[in-house]
Formats: sequence, structure tokens, C-alpha cells
Amino acid sequence: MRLSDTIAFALTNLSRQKLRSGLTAFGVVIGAGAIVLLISLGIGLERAILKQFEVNELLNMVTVLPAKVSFSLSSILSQSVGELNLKTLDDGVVEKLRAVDGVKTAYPDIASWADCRIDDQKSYSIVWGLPPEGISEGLLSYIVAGGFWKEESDFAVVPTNLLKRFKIDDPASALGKTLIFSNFTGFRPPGMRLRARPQDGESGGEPQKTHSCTIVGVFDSKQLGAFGDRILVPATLAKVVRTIGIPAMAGLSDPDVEGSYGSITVRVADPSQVDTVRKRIEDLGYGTFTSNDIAGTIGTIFLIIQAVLGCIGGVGMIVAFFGIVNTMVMAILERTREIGVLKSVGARDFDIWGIFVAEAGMIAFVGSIIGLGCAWGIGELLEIAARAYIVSHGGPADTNLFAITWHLALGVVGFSVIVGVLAGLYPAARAARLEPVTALRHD
Amino acid sequence: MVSILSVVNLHKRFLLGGVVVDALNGVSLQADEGAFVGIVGRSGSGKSTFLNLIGGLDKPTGGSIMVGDKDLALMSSEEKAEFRRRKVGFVFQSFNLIPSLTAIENVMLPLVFGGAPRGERKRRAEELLSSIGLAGRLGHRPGELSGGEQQRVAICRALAPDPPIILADEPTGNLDTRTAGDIMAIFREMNAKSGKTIFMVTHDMRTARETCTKVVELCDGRVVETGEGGCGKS
Ligand SMILES: Nc1ncnc2c1ncn2[C@@H]1O[C@H](COP(=O)(O)OP(=O)(O)O)[C@@H](O)[C@H]1O
Ligand SMILES: [Mg+2]
Repeated sequence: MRLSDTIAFALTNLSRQKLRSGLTAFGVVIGAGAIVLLISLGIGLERAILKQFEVNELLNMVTVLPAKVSFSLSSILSQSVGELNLKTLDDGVVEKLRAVDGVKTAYPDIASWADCRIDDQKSYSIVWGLPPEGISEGLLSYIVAGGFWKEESDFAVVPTNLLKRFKIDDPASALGKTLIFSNFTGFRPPGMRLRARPQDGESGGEPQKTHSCTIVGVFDSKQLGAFGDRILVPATLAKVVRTIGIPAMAGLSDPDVEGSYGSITVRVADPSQVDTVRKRIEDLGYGTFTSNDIAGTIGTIFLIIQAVLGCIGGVGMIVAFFGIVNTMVMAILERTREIGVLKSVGARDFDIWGIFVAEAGMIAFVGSIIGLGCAWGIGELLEIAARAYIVSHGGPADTNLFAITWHLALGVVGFSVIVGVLAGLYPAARAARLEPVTALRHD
Repeated sequence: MVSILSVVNLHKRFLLGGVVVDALNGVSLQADEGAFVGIVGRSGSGKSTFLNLIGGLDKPTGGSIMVGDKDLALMSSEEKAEFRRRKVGFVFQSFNLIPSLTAIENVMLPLVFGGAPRGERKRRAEELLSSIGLAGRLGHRPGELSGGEQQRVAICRALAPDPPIILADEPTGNLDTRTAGDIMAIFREMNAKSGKTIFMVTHDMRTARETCTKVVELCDGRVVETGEGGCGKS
């Protein structure tokens, strides 16, 4: 018997019991649909987050850290700061890094968390120091109002999302306003507690320090993705703010060691050489990380999330599996006599087996296709709702939270057919084993 | 004459919940190519069992069934499937058509299992159904056909792979007398014109005597010599 005949025969049989076939397939619709919906949500979220790290500005950047830190998921979970062999990052190191082959420039990151105030509204942010060589073409192109400072003084370039928090809609209207930094009272990034500055008195008792500067420019925070949420100031001002706020960058360096930095940014001349250059820097005994590391870690985290979501959908498939087994056992009971007839006209055991396996596989195939369609439809509806919500909160309108990739679609259909075929194996084997006479006498 | 079937000392014992039933108890029979063998006997005498055994639908518990030079009892299930597909065609009392398939699809079924090309199957099935007067019923399902029409479709199905042997188990048992006569005429023609060897179970002794080249009467699983007057009367 040819495969095409087996399939045609199976289809005829399924269409005979449309309601039952449909209800059985419905189980698969739910199982496959849930898997697709949940995993596509995982993929969509992952992409949305990864997009935050795929910023041109970051592609040629290597961040040099005082110690080798692995950014793989397992080491993030198990690493303890105490084990690290910390090196001091100072101006000497900056010079050394500048001399490394392939490095365009290197400058210390002077970054701290501080409260900030415009008019009488308060918020907090990372304040990031940029030396003149840190003001890249990329950064310049992200400016939406004003521009970078012409001299190292009390000037700041702020991100659009900070202005949103201050309810300033027109970036141009922020230019010339006074921005006042003060002691950080916002949330404490993890680990910060441990490195509380000695002069910070016990709760409430810390002396209030402030420093003001003038907003000279506004940049589009979206362009910098995950790195967009920071106030850019000249390096000299950043040093001052660091005495007010608390140092950013995971507390890997001691801010009280004069002239030491939490991290150093290295710009590589050729973005394709990032990995070669970071290797050279690591050979000098320093830790490094690039935006790829974060992307890799996020990828791993989302792989786990997708697996978990997939398993939740998989429970639906298990139910669908037993639905198919049940339907096939019933069908074989009903069609026992027919199986006898088929054998009497020369059907081999294998032919009978094939017909029932094909029926089970087909139920799953049709169910998974419909499930795929339903998941797509529901995803689109949720997408519309999510977009409306995101846009109303000032986010981008081009999010894609449910991403059904070809791999996912084909994978789920393939998986469903395998589940269906497995569900058909036992009933089909029973049908194939039937003695022709016994089957013919059945009614 | 060439022997087409030779059965020696055939036994078939059924065990039903501890009760032993010897449906066949030492049956020996020999038939030549082109024979029309009538099998008669009372209900429960073992006629269907005998037909099923020589058609390879069931396994004997003793004895041998030689078809040509092959012993059916020694065939694997795969070989028996091929034997049923190529050597024998079954016609049942209750037609046994597949209700979901049309007349022509039912007739094509043995050819489907034989893997014949699609066009050839269709041509063969159309040819057979037309020759038997069902050219206008190709697309009808069994439920839409009369008993006589269904049995004619079943006969076409049996003939589709052009097997040398036709096994018919009371093929007219569910039909009215006139239709039964028509069906019998078809069998006679199959035997006379196409040279098929036919084994037909019938309870109608008169028809058997008129039609068959050889009549075998079974009684409690044994062959009674024809003309002995049947076993029920003694
Ligand atoms: N599968 C079976 N299981 C048990 N007993 C059977 C089976 N098939 C036939 N028999 C018994 O064998 C005997 C012969 O049956 P059968 O060949 O159908 O007779 P006939 O066709 O002559 O009426 C009967 O007594 C019947 O009950
Ligand atoms: Mg019978």
C-alpha cells in the first residue's frame, strides 16, 4: 500500500466521524496553541530585551573591570565578590589600555547614582562622566535638542526618558534649566548596601550635599537601548557627583581609594576586532565585558523561560495524547469488522497499522495547524492591547511581544504529529494484530 | 486436470470458555482448476470454517491445505496476506463492503493494497462494474445500493485482482429469490467464461446440484458422501 493511499484512506475515515475527530483534534489545538502562544511570548520578550543591547554605539565598546567576572548565568548565580582578585583601575591602567593594539581610546567610567531635581520635581538617575574623547559620532547623532558641552564645566546632557519623568514633553524647553544633584535616596542597586560610604551617617543623619549644573542638551534615550537611562556629564563634574551619590558599577572598586575607577571604557577601532582586543586586555589580567555578554546571558535566561512555558503548554499536549489514544481505541473497536474485511482483500498487518497511525497523526497535524492559527490570532489581539498600553506609557509603538518564528511553527507542528503518531502506535498495533476471522465475526 | 486445491485431514478446534468445539474433524478434499464446488450442510456443520481455512483467513489446528505446491499452514502472516490478495477473492453473505467508500473505491481496494498504479485500478474497477451492469453506480456508497447491487459490487471486488479462486459463503443468503438467481448466474458465468475455480457454500441443495461440478456435504465437521442422503436424517 502506498503512503498516499494510506493517507487518503485515513482522511476518508476521519471525515466519517467529523465530530469525534474534531473534538479529539481540539485537544491538540489547545495543547499546540498554548505552546505556540507561550513560547512566542518568550521569544518576543527576549527579542524586545535583546534589542536594547543591539546598539551600534555599544558594538565597539569593551568595559574593563578590576577582576575577571564571568557573565554566564551559572557563574552569576554562584559567584561571590569575596573570591575575586581585585586590581586597582587607575590612570596608569588607562594609559596601559590605550597602548593595547587595536584600541582607539580608553577612558575611566566615573558613574554614580544620585538624586536629581529640576524645578521642584525629584527623581534619580545614573550620572555618567564622559571625557571629550567619549563623545562619539554616535552619541552626537542621538542629540534631539541642544548639544554636548564645549568646555568641561557644570553642564549636563539628559535623556528624553528622564524628561518624561519630569513631565517635560518638549526637549528644547529643558535647555538652560538647572539640574540639582543630591544624596541618593532612590532604590539601592543590589550589593550597594555593602559598600556604604563611611561618611554616610546612620539612617537620616547623612549631611545633605548638593551640586547644580545646567542642561545643555537632550539625547534620545531609546537610541542607547538599555544604556539610555543615564545623565551624561563631563568627567570633572562626574567626579564631584560621585562624592554626593553612590558609585554605580556593581561596587567592584573602592571609591575611597583616590584615583581608582569602577571600570574603564575601551573603544575599539574596528568593531569586528572587539573579541581580539578583549582577549589582549584579559591577558593583562583584567576582566572585561561587552554587550554581547549580556545578550548571551539574557539568551540563556530566556531559553529557560521558554522551556518552562513550553512545558506548561506541554501539559495540554499530554491531555491531547490520551484523547487521541482514546479516540483510536474506540475507532478500532467500531471498525473491527472492517479491519477483517480489509485483511480478507489482502491488507497486510503493516497496512492496517499504517492506516491507524496515519489517522492519529493526521488528527494531531490538523489540530496543530488550527492551534497555530488560533495562537497567532490571540497573540495579535494581545499585541494590539499591549501596544496601546505601551504607547500610552510613552513607549515605542513597534513592539512585537508575540513572535512566531518559522522554527517555532514547524517545530510545534512536527512535535504534534510525533505526539499523534505515538498516541496511535498502541491502538494501531492492536488493530494490526487482529485475526481476520475474529475481526470478521465481530459486530 | 490440474489440481488447484488439496486438503488433507483438516482439523479445526475452537476452545470457547473451556468448551471444545471441533468445527472441522478430518476433512479431506481435492479440487481441480475450473471446478465449481458446492459446499452444503446444516447450520453449524463447519462450512464457513472450511472456507475461511482454505482462504487463509484462519489457521487450521491440524492437517494441510495445499494450494498449488504451497502449504497454507506454513505461510507467514505476510505471505497469507499476499495469498489472499492474489489467489483468492471472497464473497460474503452480508456483502461486507466498506460503508464509507463508494462502489468503485470498494472494488479498487484489493488493488490499493497490491500497490497498483492509480489509473490502472480505476480502469479495472470501472470495467468490472460496467460488465456487471453497475456503470451508473460507481460513485454510490453501499448504503445507497440495493442488496443485489451490493453483492455485485462485492463480486467485482473479489474479481479485481483477477484471482484464480473465488470463495463465496452463502452469497445469496440475504437476497430475494429473483436477485439470488441473478447472482447465481454471475457465478456460473465466472466459472464457465473466466475459468475461475469456485467454492460456494449454500444451504440450497437443489441449486448446488444444478450448478456445481462437485457437491460436498459437511456434517459435524466431516464430509458425508454425496448422495448418502444427509446426516440430519439418520
Ligand atoms: N471463532 C469461533 N469460535 C468458537 N466457535 C466457533 C468459531 N467459529 C465457528 N465456531 C463453531 O464451529 C462450528 C462450525 O461453525 P461454522 O463453520 O460457522 O458453521 P456453518 O458455516 O456451517 O454454519 C459451530 O459450532 C460454531 O459455533
Ligand atoms: Mg456459515
